[in-house]
Amino acid sequence: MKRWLPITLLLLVSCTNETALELEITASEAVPAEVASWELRLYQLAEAEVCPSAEQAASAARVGRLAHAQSFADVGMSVGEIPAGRWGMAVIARDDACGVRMYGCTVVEIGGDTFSPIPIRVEPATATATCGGCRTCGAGACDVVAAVCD
Amino acid sequence: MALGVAAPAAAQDRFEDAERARAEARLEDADRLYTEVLESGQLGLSEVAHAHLRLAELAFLGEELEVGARHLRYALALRPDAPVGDAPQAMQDAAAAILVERSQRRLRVVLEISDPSSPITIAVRDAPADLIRTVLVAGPEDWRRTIAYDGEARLDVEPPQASRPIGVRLLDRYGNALGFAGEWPAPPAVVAPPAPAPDPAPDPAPEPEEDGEEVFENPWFWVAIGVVAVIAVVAVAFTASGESYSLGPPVAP
Repeated sequence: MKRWLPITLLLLVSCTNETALELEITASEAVPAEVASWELRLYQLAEAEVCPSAEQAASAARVGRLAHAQSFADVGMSVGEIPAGRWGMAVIARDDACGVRMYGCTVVEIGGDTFSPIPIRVEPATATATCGGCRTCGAGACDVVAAVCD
Repeated sequence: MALGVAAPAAAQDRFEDAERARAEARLEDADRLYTEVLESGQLGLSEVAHAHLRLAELAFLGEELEVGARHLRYALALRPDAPVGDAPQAMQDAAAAILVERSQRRLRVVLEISDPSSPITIAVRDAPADLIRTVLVAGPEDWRRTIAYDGEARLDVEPPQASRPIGVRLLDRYGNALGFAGEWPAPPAVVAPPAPAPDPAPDPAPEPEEDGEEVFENPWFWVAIGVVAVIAVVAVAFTASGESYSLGPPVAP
């Protein structure tokens, strides 16, 4: 039976199909010099749900199901594996005081037809909220970044 | 060395020859062979990055610092995590300087589509000078554009409705594909010509009849059927459990 093992493994591997997708943040105009960090928040959305507003995303309000969040200065970390479905991808550009300088959010159906890279277009924005009631600001980034403030 | 499946057999053979020459310290041969591999125009992105990394290493060893820096810049644009730990110290220093300047930014191409009827902007990001020479654009119904790339970061194309979605490929001077975006159209189906009628041949001699029942009586036959059935069930379960999608790192504009 040993001869079947490689064939079985080969068949199983061929059935697991991983598609690599990339994220691309594009700015509608020049990024203000005050921007100190970027925050990416990924929301798993139900059929009727839409992207959060800049205010909601910046304050870490509960929208859909937050699946991932990270802060970065230039290039972030790999997000990793996500299941197919409807996703909201929000990006917030923050200044040193965690004020919102730019914001963008894209709803994407992750599936067989998804183009890569996935563009997230950010535009100048303001919000009265900074990090939300459950997070603190340090050096332009909100901590804990992946928190959800109810 | 494990090469990607993108490289055809001939290019892969030459790649292995180049690796062997390098391992045997035949540096001039290695330099020539890596250059020939690149010039084949048949490499995928990871192979091109590897070839440039090796050419950089050889140039630094030969103290051709400017040439080495160029190849190194290309390699790191394609693969920012390219291993340079065993490289000459000058190359390691140059790599560190490049990564400070570029961070972990890879060469990439982005399609910006604002609405289904407007022009499509092709944005080439973080491309080192002179690496990309051609932008190929293609869509359904045989719509094609070949654009000479002169460093302009944004190119607009306006395919007709029937020729969307489009796919984009970035090519280097040899035709190696270094960047992709969108959906490359499937090649048109090739209709096979009708097979020629077989020559009339003399009637073959009747073959001795096999005893069909023997196959079914063999226990290994049923074992094989069982194994295939189990594999099929597991495969369906795997497929039904969903494809996986992996999201790469976000990059600030």
